[in-house]
Amino acid sequence: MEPIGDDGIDGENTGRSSVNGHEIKFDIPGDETGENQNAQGMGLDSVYEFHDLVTVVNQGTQPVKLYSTYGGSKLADLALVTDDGVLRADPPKIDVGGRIDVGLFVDTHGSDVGEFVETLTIVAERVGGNQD
Amino acid sequence: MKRRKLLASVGSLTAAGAVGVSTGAFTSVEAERAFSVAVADDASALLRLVAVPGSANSEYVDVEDGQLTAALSGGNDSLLGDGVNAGAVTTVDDLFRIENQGTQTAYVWLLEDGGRNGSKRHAFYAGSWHEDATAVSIADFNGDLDALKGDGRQRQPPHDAGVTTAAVELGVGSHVDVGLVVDAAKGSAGSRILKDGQGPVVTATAERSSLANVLTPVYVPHSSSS
Repeated sequence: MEPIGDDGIDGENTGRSSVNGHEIKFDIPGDETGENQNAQGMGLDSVYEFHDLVTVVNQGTQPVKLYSTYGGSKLADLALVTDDGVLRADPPKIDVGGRIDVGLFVDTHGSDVGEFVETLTIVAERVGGNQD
Repeated sequence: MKRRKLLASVGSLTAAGAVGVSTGAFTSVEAERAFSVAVADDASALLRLVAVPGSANSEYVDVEDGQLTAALSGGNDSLLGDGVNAGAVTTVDDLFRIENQGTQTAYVWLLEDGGRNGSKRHAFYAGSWHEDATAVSIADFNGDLDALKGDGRQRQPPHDAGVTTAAVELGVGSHVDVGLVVDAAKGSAGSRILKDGQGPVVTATAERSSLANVLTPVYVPHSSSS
């Protein structure tokens, strides 16, 4: 796993996605020099999409469907997203050896001004669901 | 106009870290990942919304609970009047500013809710209405902007005035100052052009190719990061 390379200001890393130990984590705004230092966060009552923050690779032996769930209370919604939309009702299939670039969909309607740490659950499920 | 909403599709980063998902002998995997997020007021957000500094029309703009609002009505205590004139076209240059505080060029426009009738009598524009205006708001015609013609069939005041409609190209740190035109019909005194809470959705995308035809070619303001 590697942090974002060079898509921020002046080709610098934004830090919007990074590795914390062995796990990917997300920060909006990012904490690297490629982030706009004037921005303190997302606006109120808004919907933001940050595309292509991480690549998910299927290194297993079966095709999977990828989606996410969110049960937090600080945001109206939080989900994985691609250029084709939020990964929810009709999630994309990733074949064995396949990969997909995903980002974050964030809905701040009803949120307060402040800093929050929320949890996004990323789900990779075998195509066809639980057949065991 | 009263409360603004914001729909921003900010950021289309291409490089990425790789998350290996091993599917060797499982049915599903659920991995919880931390998401640290800051929610900011309009003046500090990635897409910044503020009154135009030094504008004579800043009295129409206020901040409520961190959000930019504007009122040209009796509900605005800063005004002596109760609204715009009936049977007249009223223009307010430099009402508020939209600034790109993201990390890449964004294409911005205002999407009006309320459908055809809700947006018929007003519009938002960049520049000076009487000199070089470009309309930057568009009516949400059943959610199908691509069905609109580029000649301004959205029937907003810019159409009658022969003003072009376009999205605004904002580089990082750039801004556009937005004005409001209201075309109030004769005999409409006492009525509302926009109801309380009804306002445009400020919309931004980093993907120029995704713009509806009616929003292109884009408008590039003569703004700086100042």
